[in-house]
Amino acid sequence: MDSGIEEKVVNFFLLTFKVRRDFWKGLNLVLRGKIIWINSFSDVNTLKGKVISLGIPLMRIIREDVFKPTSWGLIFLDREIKKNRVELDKITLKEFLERGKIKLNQIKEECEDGFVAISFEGKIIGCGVLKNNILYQKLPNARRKELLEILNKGY
Amino acid sequence: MERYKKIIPQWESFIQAIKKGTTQTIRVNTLKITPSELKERLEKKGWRIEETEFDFAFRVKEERSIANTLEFYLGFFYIQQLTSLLVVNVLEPKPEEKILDLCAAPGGKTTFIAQLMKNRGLIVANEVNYKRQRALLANIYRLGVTNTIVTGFNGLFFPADIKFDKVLVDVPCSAQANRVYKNQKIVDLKFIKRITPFQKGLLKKAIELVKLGGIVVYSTCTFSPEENEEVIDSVLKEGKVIIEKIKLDFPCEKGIICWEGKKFDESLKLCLRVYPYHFYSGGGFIARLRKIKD
Repeated sequence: MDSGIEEKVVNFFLLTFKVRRDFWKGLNLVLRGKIIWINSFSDVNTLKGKVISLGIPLMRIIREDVFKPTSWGLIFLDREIKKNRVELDKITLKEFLERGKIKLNQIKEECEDGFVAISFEGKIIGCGVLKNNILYQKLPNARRKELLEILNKGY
Repeated sequence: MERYKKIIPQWESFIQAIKKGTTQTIRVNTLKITPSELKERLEKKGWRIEETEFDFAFRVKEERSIANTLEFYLGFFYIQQLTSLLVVNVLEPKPEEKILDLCAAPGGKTTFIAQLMKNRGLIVANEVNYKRQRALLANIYRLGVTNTIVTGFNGLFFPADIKFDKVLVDVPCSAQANRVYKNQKIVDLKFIKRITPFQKGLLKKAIELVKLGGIVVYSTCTFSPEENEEVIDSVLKEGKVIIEKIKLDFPCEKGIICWEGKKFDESLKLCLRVYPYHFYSGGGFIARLRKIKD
């Protein structure tokens, strides 16, 4: 991948989620279409045609220099994320998943407006956006439903 | 199932095991969590689980589905039959190897291979069916697998540009080991007749794609010799592969060497037949082949 974009991705995660620079050692960032993939294999040009995925989708490029982290990517990073983690309890999370957004009364200092990693029981469960104390969900719909079912049925 | 009475050594145990039914078993995804950590988390939430004869696997002693847990959502484990774990153990994946899983969906075996490879080396997980590709991708992402490329080729036409150290060919089959629990028609000879040429084609392709000296593991979740020994016997005749003895200490039956008047190569005894009474978790057939000629 263009080393300029790679640097931008590393910087994005450093500034937004405080992910250490050395975390990325041994991992590759690969741009294909509008998706940046994270993977750990060396020979990325092994196969031509009908390649559907190249590891885990980490980010989408919305437009030039504007990235959106994926929920899969944030779940993969989990414990590396030290900033902009929003922890929700079960009742709040359920309401959030049902309504798509929620007003938060108490937000920790290390949370800023913009992309955040939503956390439950100390584990990242997906991506959200925080704006003026309102948290918006950015989880894929199937994953949102799956999590809601877990919360409803038991967990 | 009466059709197989002659070849199933412990027929009464077989019937009893089917009546008893299958239990939920899970494989801990050590890419994300250790077995002891997962056990502790689940037990804290009231799940009763116990160890099995397989590393990384637990048996769930509950009727409710363990898929309804945060731990499942986060990819800490995969719900998987023990027989599937056995197939991957027979493959013996090693970090830094290049492995092809020719019929990969839904990804239970692929993700276990990745786990044993410690997310190193390279796995190419191939699946031609779009719906099944979605399930495969979701499982790869959920379990945090980073060493895998997913492709969508028809397995019979997978490009021979690269050679792999090992190929797993877990072919589509009549799935008798699963159907036996579901009150479904178990033996459908018309289907078996239709699918065996496809199974032979996939195995031949797998042999083409593995490097000289490399390993091909052929597996099914069915009992019919037409889909198992007969398929292997047909490729042995071409002289490109030999069957290797499986060095695993698990209680399984040997492959058979004659069926309905047909005689197969003696070395088919080296294959494994897994019946429900072995692990109470799936069943099927496994062969480990080594390529000796291009």
